[in-house]
Formats: sequence, structure tokens, C-alpha cells
Amino acid sequence: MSRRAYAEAQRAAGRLVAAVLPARYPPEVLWAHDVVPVEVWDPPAPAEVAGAHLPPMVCSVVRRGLALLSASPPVDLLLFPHTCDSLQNLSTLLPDLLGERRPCLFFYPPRGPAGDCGRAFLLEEVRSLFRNLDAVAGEPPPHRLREAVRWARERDEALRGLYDARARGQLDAPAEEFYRAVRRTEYLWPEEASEELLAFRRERAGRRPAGVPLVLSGVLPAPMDFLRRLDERGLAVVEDDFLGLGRRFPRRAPDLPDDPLEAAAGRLLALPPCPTQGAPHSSRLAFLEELARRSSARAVVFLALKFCEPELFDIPFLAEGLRERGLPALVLETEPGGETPAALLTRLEAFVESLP
Amino acid sequence: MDCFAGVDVGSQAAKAVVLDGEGRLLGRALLDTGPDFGRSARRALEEALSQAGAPRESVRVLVGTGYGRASVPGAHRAITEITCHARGVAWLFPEARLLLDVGGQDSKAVRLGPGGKVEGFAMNDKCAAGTGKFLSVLAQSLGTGIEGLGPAGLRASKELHLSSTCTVFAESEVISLLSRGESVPDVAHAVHAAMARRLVGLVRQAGLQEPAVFTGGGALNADLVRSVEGALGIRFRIPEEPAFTGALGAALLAREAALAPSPR
Amino acid sequence: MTLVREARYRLMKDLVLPAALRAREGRRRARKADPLFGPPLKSGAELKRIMARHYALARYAKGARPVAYVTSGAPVELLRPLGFYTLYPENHSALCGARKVGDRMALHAEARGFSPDLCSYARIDLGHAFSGESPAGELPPPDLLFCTTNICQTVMYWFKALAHHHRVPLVVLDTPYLHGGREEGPALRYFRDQMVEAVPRLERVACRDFEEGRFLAALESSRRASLLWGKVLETLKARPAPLTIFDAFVHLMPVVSLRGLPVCERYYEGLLAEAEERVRRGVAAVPGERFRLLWDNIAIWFALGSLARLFARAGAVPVAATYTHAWAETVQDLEETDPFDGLAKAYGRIFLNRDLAHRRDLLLTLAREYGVHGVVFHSARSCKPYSIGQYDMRGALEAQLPLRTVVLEADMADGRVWSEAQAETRLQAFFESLER
Repeated sequence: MSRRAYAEAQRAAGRLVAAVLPARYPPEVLWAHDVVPVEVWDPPAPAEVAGAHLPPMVCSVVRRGLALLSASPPVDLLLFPHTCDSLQNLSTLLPDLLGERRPCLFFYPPRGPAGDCGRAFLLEEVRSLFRNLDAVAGEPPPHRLREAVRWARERDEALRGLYDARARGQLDAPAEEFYRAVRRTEYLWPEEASEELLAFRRERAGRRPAGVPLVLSGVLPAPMDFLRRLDERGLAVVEDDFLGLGRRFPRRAPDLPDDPLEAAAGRLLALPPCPTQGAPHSSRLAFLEELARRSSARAVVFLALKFCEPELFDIPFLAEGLRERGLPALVLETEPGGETPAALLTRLEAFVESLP
Repeated sequence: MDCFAGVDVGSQAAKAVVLDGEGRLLGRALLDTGPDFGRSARRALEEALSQAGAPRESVRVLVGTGYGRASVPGAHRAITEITCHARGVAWLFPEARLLLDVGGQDSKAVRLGPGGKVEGFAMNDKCAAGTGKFLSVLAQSLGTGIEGLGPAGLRASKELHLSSTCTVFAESEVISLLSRGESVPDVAHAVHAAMARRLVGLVRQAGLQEPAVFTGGGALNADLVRSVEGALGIRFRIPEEPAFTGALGAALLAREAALAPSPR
Repeated sequence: MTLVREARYRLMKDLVLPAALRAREGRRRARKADPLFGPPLKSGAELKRIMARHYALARYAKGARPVAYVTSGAPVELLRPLGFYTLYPENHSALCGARKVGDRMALHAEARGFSPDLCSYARIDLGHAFSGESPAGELPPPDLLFCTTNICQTVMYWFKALAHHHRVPLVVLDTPYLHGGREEGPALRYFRDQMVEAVPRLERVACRDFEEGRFLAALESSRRASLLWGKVLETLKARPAPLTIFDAFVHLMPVVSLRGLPVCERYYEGLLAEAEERVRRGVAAVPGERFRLLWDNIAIWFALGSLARLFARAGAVPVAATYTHAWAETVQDLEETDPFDGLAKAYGRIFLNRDLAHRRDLLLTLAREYGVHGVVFHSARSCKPYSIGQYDMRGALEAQLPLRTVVLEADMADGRVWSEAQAETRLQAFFESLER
């Protein structure tokens, strides 16, 4: 079922649907209000439509996001986490100049190493999102938020379990299928998502398909056919540091406060280091190295999304740092949608052939 | 008899139009632009004048336009092709409110007011995507030649998607589609669809208004015109000789300058 | 060691450099006056002296002063009482752009894997870090990186890369974007608290205590300089305008990079007096002023001169810009009783940190106040927060005022994306549309 069909079904069942742009936000707060967050990463909307509104140096995630949102998707509200300058401007362009009338909510995850005031501000942002949702969706019953926090924990556990199984070589699933399954968490109601993830892990328990183990990094595993090409070439994705995937659940179960809003904020603080929040190179390097070590990966491949500043600024020093630590790294510039250019696959093959 | 001339020196062709004092067409000419803009301009003007049967001295005002507008020998003024195209289109279609021009190096959408007044416009950025150059590069890969690209696209039987509008990447995409066994008409149509998406962005930036007129070399490509029409949901009017609109506008502006009390 | 360096620094600052710069000026022949323009601003010579000394002295600062690299929108008043020698990478990259070496310097960063799609200021600056090349001579490496996200997120990614390269502390002051309709209080309080939290870190780098008296003095000096700058810009309301926005782009340098220092205030006192005198005497920056224009976005540094001539030939005078206005827009906020609150407001509420509805109102206000006929939108390939939204801003302005608008695709410092002929056609067509 497509995201659109799912959103329509959820609305028919009486829930509200929020289109949520990348990347980090507290989903618990939406769930508590019976709002289904349907995330907008690389919708199949033609990116060129955005040419009337966006200058050429805007990445395709933002272009497709705009194209989708202007094609009246079945959603009741929009949520814009503040992730980068392009998404920031999209979040004001739509309501302020393009006449978007659905409620627009904003969420600002603080940058830099979270000092005391950063933590206080994050909590204030979570609270404010909660209050703003009250205004759109009505106040939820008191126990609902606590329940939502539990769903988040269960979904995180299911994701961790699946990722751990893959890293240890105990999952018999080609990359394309793995990511199709995992990416459904971008829109499924959390209880359904956890159930599916657990089922996938059970059904696919077994030995990892043979292949050169790689860690991927970037925004998304895109274009989707890229994963199939990896599978065809005997390359196995064993871990990832994607903004939309491996960087969006805590890699260790965090010890969270009892207050549910504080728990939602605390979960965000426990997420892996991310350039969109200004994580220093050292912490990102340590994280990538750990991913590679625990999964016995032989190299790291960066899928660099064209025009994506937070990712592109970090990559040169990350690749350099990984090489210094004995982990070969390759940078490929990609775009979601369409097919992987042949030249790019040639580079990947040559890189793998050159691995020690 | 006094006459008024406009010479449009584009990157691909030099065009000249000669009018009489009433705005009637006396002569016109189109030549390939050589490396020497001045020479191409002079030759185009000479040919138009000889068709008009008028000597060079009878030209009271000469206006240069186009990429080589500053190199037109003896021109009294240089006016940009945006203003000239707008003026030419308004003469042919007085009710026109939008002009889309697809030329060799530039594509532009111009929002027109009454009398061909330019109210706003948008142009392609520096790269060649969305210009005639994009089509000619891809026509070469497809082996149709630029004239054959439109007719080929019209014979398409299925929709293929070309994701890249960058000329270089699109070329390799075209080659890989062909090597996959896709037919030339289908790929040609996909090229036009990709180009149309770019042009739609320009039109929306300038502001979509009707009636709309399509000019420049691109207007001769029926499949491209149809693709843009489909994407915008409108119909374009096309001048009989779309390549001459700029030169015509220049000649009209030359005539107006002569009639105005004190040309600047 | 430090004492020797301190003595050398003072000697260079107060005696050697001023004398050397005067001598160089004496040798320089006056340039021929261009009939397109009015008489050149006399303050220009003083500006050259100040900026030349600022960059020349930088190389003697190492060891004598802690050196900080600072973003243009950062509350530098926090660094002044601690005696930091401040360098502005954005200003330096603009300088490289203006000297037309931006492309070459950016290549050093691209060779290290930094994508050519990244901000050109950042690429040029990283290119400087990797190669040591600079048209301003040798610049000292930083002891501190001081960055505020009120102008863009890019500076955070960029300064993070600098921190990794130089292995020095990075202070990021995070300024949440202000959406209209949302309460500003928590965001500004968060910004304020970060400044307070940062002070001990700054003290550690400077090995000096943060003295409140000096801090207040810097704040007051900065406030006065911004007020003076605002008044200079207001003289452009006069018809004919006594200077153009292209002049203002250049004369902006001290208020960007020497804010909070006495030299900055003094400079603008002089510039204001000169601009006011020109208004009184009716001296026009462009004698044939016909159209008054509003400019949106950073200058196109490498084409500033050729654009100025192109505009002047058509009698088109840019008289206002959102960019130059940024250093005067929120100065009244500095008058808060609590100096940290004042800084949080003045720096947190600049237009680049506020939504596009605010930007539209700012553009409309400037258009009305300065009596402009048209707006030139520079769509800067490097600058997403400034450029995204301009396409629709055109329509939003045209709906309110009888304005013509044009978009110019370019960049502030990377000439490779620039096509002179294409830009010329576009601007001439725009001027023609103003004419009829």
C-alpha cells in the first residue's frame, strides 16, 4: 500500500494525518494526539514542478517535498522540523507566500553539543509542539502520551533488534527488501510498525547472504534501484548511518525520565550524532567506526545527496578520518528517483575490487 | 522611401527584417551566424534589403538585438531580445499576454502587458538545460537531426522518464535508454517531456497568463510545443515564422524611435 | 616571548603600519574620474587604510592577542572585552571574490573533496586554510572559532570543518528560526543563556577575565556604529542619491568586521558627514539618476565594478538593499537593560532569522521609503536561506506596489557560475521594462 493510500485509510478510520518533513522530531507527541505522521522524504512527485518556486541549488528531497505538498495530498496538517536552511525556507515559503492553509507546525531541535540551556530549550520545543497539537487535534486523554512513549520504545527496540541481527550476520535479507521493510516505519502507526519489524526479523532469521560487507551513510538509500544493484554485485549492506534510518533511533536503550514529555525529549538527545544538529567530526567518526566494527564491514560508502550541505560539508574529513583508521571510504553523488547512473556503479565496482 | 530595419544576431542564426513606415514587411533574411557577428549581421541586412529592393541609405533607423546586438554595424540602438520579442509578438498577436521563447542559448518566459510591454520575465540559468542547445545535443545522440526530433517525438507510443535535465547527464541517459532497446520516437518524446518540465518552471516563475505565444526555434518542434501545452494545460499560438519575431520587434522599435519626438 | 610579541604588535599597530600605508598612498596615482559617476567618496581612502591595516596587523596578532574567527552575525561584543583579534572569514572570502581569486582558492577545498555545490565563502575559506593563500597576505590561524547560526546553518557546518582542521575550540551560538505567530520568548531566552554559558569558555581561551565594564563599552560602541551606519543608509533616500548601494557594499566592511571598536565608530562619523554634505550640495553618485532600485541578497563581489557601470549607463541606481540594512535593522534592540537580553534580541531577530512574511514586509517598507521603481533579486547559488523564496517574493511585491522585478542568477564569490553576457541581457531588458 502506498503512503497516500495508507494516509487515506487512516483518515477514513478517524485519525488525522500529518505530512512530516525530514528529519528529527518527537513522534510520540503526534501519536498521543491520534495523529499519524507520514514522512515526506522522496515522494514520487516530479521534482521539476518545483522549478517555479525553488532555485536550482535546492536538493531533490526539498523539491519533491514541495511538489508533493502542492499536489493536495490527503493530510490534515504539516510538520516542519528545522533540519537545514532549505527546509527552513520551505517551511515559511508554503504558508507565507504560497497560501498553504492547512495548519503548519514547526519544531526546532537545538544545535551543537546540548548544554543545560540546549536541553531546556529542547524540552520547551517538545512541550510547545504538544500544545500546538492540542489546538489542531484536541487534547488527548492523560494516559495517551505515556502510551505513545511506550510505542516509541517498542519501535526503537524492534529496529535495534533488526539492525543488530543484520550487523551480526543473522538476517537473510537482501538490502532492497530490508530497506523496503524498514522504511515502512516512516508512515505506519507505531504498533503496526513494531509488529511488522518483529515479524520480518523472525521470517528472515538465517545467515547473511554472502557478499562484501559495507556500511552506507548519507540521507537515504536512494535511488532504490541502487540497493538492487548492490545485491546483484554481491555487496552486502550490514549497517547504515542514514539521516532517515540508522541515525533516527537510539543505538542503546536510553535511560529515560518518567515524565513522558521529558522522555520524548530525552529520546531525541539519545539519537546518534548527526550533522544537521552540528555533531562534531570526532563523534561522527567514532560512531561510523563502531558501526563498521560491530558489523565487520570492510568499507564505508557515502551516498552524497547533491546540494545537501549538512552531509556534504562533513564527508571529506569523515572519509579522510576513516581511511586513517584503516577503513576505506568511497563517496558517490546520488539523487533519489530515476535509476543509478552506470558510471556510478562502475566506480563502486572498482572501489570494491581495490579493497584490501 | 524610408524604411526601418531590425537585425537579430542570435547564437545560431542572424535574422533581419525591413519594414516600411506603415509597418508593412518589405524584406527579411535568415543566415547562419558565423564567428564574426558583425559580418553575419551585415549580410543578413543586405539580403533583406535586396529582397525589399531598397538601398542601404533608405534605412532611417536600424536596431540591433540578440546575443550579438552590440556588433550590428551602423545600428542606432541595441535593444535586448526580451523587449524585441515582446514587441514583435504583440504586433502579430495584439492580445498576447505571455511569450515563451526557446532559442539556441537562452529560453525565456515573458509576461506581457498591453502593447507588448514587458511586465516580468524569467530566463534559464547559466547551464544549457532547457535551451535549444539541449535539444540539438540530444538530437545528435538520437541521430534524428534537430529538424527530425519533433516529428520523431510525435510518433512515440509510450511514456519514458528522463530524470536528468542536465545536458551531459541526459545524453548518457539517452544512450543507455537506446541501448536498452527503447525506440527513437519514445526517447525523443521523453526528451521533450523533460525539457517541457523545465520550461513550465520558467513560465510559472514569470506568471502564467493567456493568450500565450510560443516563439524561437523551439516553436518549430511540434512535439515540444505539445508537451509544454500538456504540462501547462493551455494552447499556444505560434507565429508563421517564429524565428523572425525578435528581428521584427527590433524593426518595429526602430520605426517607433523614428516617430517619437526625440529619441534618446 | 609574549611581551616581545606584544611590543611588536603595538609598534606595528601604532607606528609602522600607519606610516607604511601613508607612504603607499602617496605613491599611488589618482585614478581618472569616470564620467558615469559623480566624484568619488573621500572616505574611500580612509576605508582602504583601515582595512589594509586590519589585515596587515593580523599577522602580528598571533601570540600577542588571542585570534578568533567570527561569523558576520555573531555577537562579537562578547569577544571585545577579552581582547580577541577578530577575523571574519566571510569578509575575507568576499575580498577574495572581489579580487577575482575566489575560483582559484575554492579549488584547494574542492581538491580535498569539498563539493563545488557548497557555499563559495566556505570553499574559499577552507581553500585558504589548506593552502595559506590569501590576497590579504598571511593571516594567523585561529585560537577560537565563534559562530552564530542566525544568518544560516552553513556557518555551523563550515566552522565545524575549520575546528576539525585547526584543532581549536568552536563555540556555536544557536539561534532558533523565528516563525511569525510563534512566541519568540523561549528562542531568545535560549540564545541569551548560551551566551552566558559561553563566557567561561571564552575566558579560558583568552586567559583573561570577562570585565563587565569593557563589555558594556563595546556594546555601546557597537550600538553607536550601527546607528551611524543606519543614518548613512538613510541618506540614500535623497534624490539624487549621494552614494549607491554598490558603494555601501564596500563601506559596509567596518560595521561587519570591526564592530565594537573605536575605529569603526570614527569611520562612520566621517562617512555620514560626507554623505550628508553631498546631499546638501546635491552631489549625485550617478549624475543621470533615472530609476531607483532595491537590491536583495549579498553583493556579486567579482562583478561589482562592471555591474555598477552597467547600472549607471542606464541611469539605474540601487538605493537600498536588505543586505546592507541587516547591520542597522535591529540596533534599537541593544538598548535593553540587560545587555545579554539586548544582544539576544538584536542578533536573534535579524531578518535572515525570520520568516518570509517578515522579509516581504521589510522589502515593501524599503521599497516605499526609498521610492524605488524596481527590485533586483540576486539569486546566490551559495546562499540558500537568502535565495529560496525569491521567485515567489517577486509576485508578492508586484501585487502590492507597481514594481518591476528581475532575478539575476549568480554567486557572491564564485565567478564560475556567472555569465557576463547573459546577465547583461537580463539587466538591460529589465531596464528597458522600467523605461516604457
